Parts: sequence; C-alpha cells; structure tokens
Amino acid sequence: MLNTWLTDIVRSTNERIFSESDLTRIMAYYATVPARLRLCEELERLEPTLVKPLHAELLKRYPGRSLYSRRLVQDLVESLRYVNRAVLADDVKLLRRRWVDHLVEATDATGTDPQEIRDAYVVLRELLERQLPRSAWEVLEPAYVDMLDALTRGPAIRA
Amino acid sequence: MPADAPLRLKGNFFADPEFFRTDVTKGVTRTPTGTRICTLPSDFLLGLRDAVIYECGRSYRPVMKAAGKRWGLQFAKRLERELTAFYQSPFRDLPPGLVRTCLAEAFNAHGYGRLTLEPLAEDAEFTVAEVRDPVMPSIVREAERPVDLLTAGMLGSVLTQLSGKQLECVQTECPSMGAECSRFIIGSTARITEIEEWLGELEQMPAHEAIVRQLTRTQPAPRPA
Repeated sequence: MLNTWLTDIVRSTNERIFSESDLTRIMAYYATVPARLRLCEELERLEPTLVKPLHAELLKRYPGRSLYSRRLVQDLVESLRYVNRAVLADDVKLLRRRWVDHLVEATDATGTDPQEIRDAYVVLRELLERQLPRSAWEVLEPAYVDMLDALTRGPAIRA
Repeated sequence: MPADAPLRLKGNFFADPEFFRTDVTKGVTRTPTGTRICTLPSDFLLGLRDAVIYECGRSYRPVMKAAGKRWGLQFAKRLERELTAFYQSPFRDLPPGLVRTCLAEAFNAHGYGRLTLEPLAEDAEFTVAEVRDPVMPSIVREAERPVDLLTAGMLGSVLTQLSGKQLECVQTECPSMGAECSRFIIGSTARITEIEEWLGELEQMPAHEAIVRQLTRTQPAPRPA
C-alpha cells in the first residue's frame, strides 16, 4: 500500500537523513499500526453483517426514498473498504482520490441529493458504533467525518 | 444509457495508485485487467502528425480524425469490459450521469487531460466536452484551426459505442488558437457533418458560441426517401 504522505517524505528526503519532524511522524504512525490493523480486521469481519440491517433501517426511516436499492446499500457498505485502506495508511488522501471525489461527482452528475447518501452513512455509523469499541471508532472517525463533510459541501467545484 | 437506472456507487476505478503496474524485467505495463499500456511521448505524437500531414496533404484532418475514431472504439470497448466487471452489471445500463463520470475518470487517469461532459444548455440533443490540459495542443502551440483531431474522433466514437446512437464530434475551441481548453460538441452524425462542412467554407474559425448558434438555428437536413 502506498501512503501518499510517506511517499512524499521518502521522495523529498532523497536518500539523505530524515528530518526530526518527518522521523517523529513516521515513528508515531508505526506505533499505531497494530491498532489500525485490528480495527481493519474488525471492519472486514463486520461487513457481511451490515447490509441487511442497514437496508431495513433505511427503508424504515425513509420509506419514500427510492434511492436505497439493495445494491446501492451493498455499495455503501463495501465503501468501508476504502475507509479501511485510508485508516490503515493514516492517509485521508487515499479515501478522497478513490472514493470521496467520485461520490461527489457522481451524485452531482446523476442529480442525486447528497443528503440522501449522507443520511445512509449516518445510519451506517450508528450500526457501526453499536459494534465497535469507542477506541476503535476514534481511529476511524477522521476518515468518516471527511467523507460526510464532502457530502454537505455541495457539487464539486471544477477548476 | 437508461435515464431512470438505479444509482450505483463503487468509487473511482482508476484512482488506485497501482492502476498502471510496470514489470521492469519484462518492460511491460498493464492495467489490473491485464490490458497492456504504453507511453506515447510528445515526440512520437508530433512525428505522427507531421508524417500524416506530409503523406496526406490537405486531407490530413479527416485521416487524423478517423485514427481517433478507431482508437475511441477500442478504448470504449475496453472501458465497457472493465467497468462491467467492476460494477457487475452492464456499464451502459448505469445512469447516464454516472457513465459520464466514469468516462471522465478514465480519460483523466490515462493522462489525456481533464475531461468534463455536459449536455448543451441550448439543446440537450448535443453534448459539450471540455478537456483541460489536452495533449495535442500542448505540442502544437499555434494553429489557425483546432488541432485536437485525434480526441475529436475518439470522443465521437466512445459516445457512439456507449449510447448506441451514431454520433460525431467537432472541436470548437483549441488552446493552439488561444483558448483556455479544448472544447467539443458531440451530436448526431448528420448535424455535426453539416457543421463541419459549414466550418470548412469559412475563412476563419468562428467562436464556440457562434457554432452553437449555427447548430441550434439550422434544422437537420431532410433525409432522402
């Protein structure tokens, strides 16, 4: 897996000695890797158990919304894999490039209300919070919040 | 592309840092689905263009565009195959907006520039494509006519393949002529051919807006019985 920030550090160091701040960041990251791995394994284990209850809960809370097909719910649960990779690498950029930017573009291009996707993620978060310990959720939160924020910012700004 | 198709969200297929993987021992670069990719440097593209101009003279424009069409057909077939496998349902059955998003992501990932596709505001029968940082105008710095003929042929062909309708594409703005980006209009073959003939009669290339006005003002030519 390629952490973009770690790759940047290695490139800019260019075979010289790491700076104090870069070294501190790298060591701090490696100290958290076991916890990150445990969380990722836990998320992977939970994934198959989430689709059915999430779909049922969305239909119950938002009965008028036709957006929530079984396959879309499955897609949203599977998107946790991208969150997983970002958490493992401590790199929100990976999540943005592979998932969040696409999510914003696709909802805009298809005329989908991003709030409806956000609502689904909020319900998914509730389901996850019931099953994950608080310490695990703290590791997951930055990536998850970044994703939810993107869905409230509105359509992508084109350069 | 059915307008009411259910939404699917699977992420940007091309945004994997290891999408293009090179085996340096073999000197081969492949995508995750095994398609071989090679880099065509600016020198090659410039050489190709010069050779086609030398060999074909004034007819080099349709020849370059035809090359773009062949390329676009293969590109669209590969895109359809890869994204059908990714979504586990036929790519062209996805919502049109999602198909446009995926097409733009494919275009960007391959380094052809940043593509956006939007229906033409004046007439939704046509699509406007914009490419920022396009390849050909970056190597042909100045020209009196748009130079992105390969991309024009390619876009027309890709949208023909994905929509199932016979479409054609014409470039209306080009950085080689001082524009910010390459701009194209894609529509039915009959309408775009008429516009290309009209452009061919003019001494100077008109502005994009003037081409749009001409396109929306003229009625399609009656088909022979």
